[in-house]
Amino acid sequence: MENSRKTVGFLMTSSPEHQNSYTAFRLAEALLVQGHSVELFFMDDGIYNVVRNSAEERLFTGVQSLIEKGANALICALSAESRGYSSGDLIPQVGLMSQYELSEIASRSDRFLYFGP
Amino acid sequence: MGFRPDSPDADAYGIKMSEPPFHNAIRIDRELDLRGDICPITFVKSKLALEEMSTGQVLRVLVDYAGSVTNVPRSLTHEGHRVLKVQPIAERLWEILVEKVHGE
Repeated sequence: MENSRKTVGFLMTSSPEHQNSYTAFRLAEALLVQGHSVELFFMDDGIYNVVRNSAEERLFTGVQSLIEKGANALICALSAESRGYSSGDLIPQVGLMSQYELSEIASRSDRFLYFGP
Repeated sequence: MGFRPDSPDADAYGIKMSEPPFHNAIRIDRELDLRGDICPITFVKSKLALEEMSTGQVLRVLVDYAGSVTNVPRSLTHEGHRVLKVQPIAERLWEILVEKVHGE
């Protein structure tokens, strides 16, 4: 990657227990520390990464921490709804969006990475 | 051809509307019944319909999935179209009026 600021998009469909979540969050954190832009989109079981009451106990690095470092985090509202979660169950800074926003992230990212189960 | 609430097409939809779909003299050029569809198909079908329409024409979209009530207007606005109205017209049924702004 060049020294100039890049945008890296992440699609997360793995749950917090999966190794991929840990890998993705460490990578995202490293990118943010280096000054790059990180955009996260959670869908399917990736939703569990942003459930508020599981965050402290189950997340290794924490989406909250990434957001505080400047990451933009969005989720598929339908994935959340189908798992019984509404906005009040999620980390407040996470936006409930749709696949359209996922396509926009993929479109504007210099690199787009997928971490699934 | 515009959609009129007093036309035979209106009965075909089987919808008890709180008011006619001909709002404030807005001419409806095309109707899209997306009841039963969910995100992201509601947006995709709306986008494809608009691509077949001419600039300035108005599309009326019916949705019964609550998430589409916010997602579809937001996405279509981002695509450059003009959302004229979003409102409930029956229990768990909403209409979205959108004007095609650009392209052919």
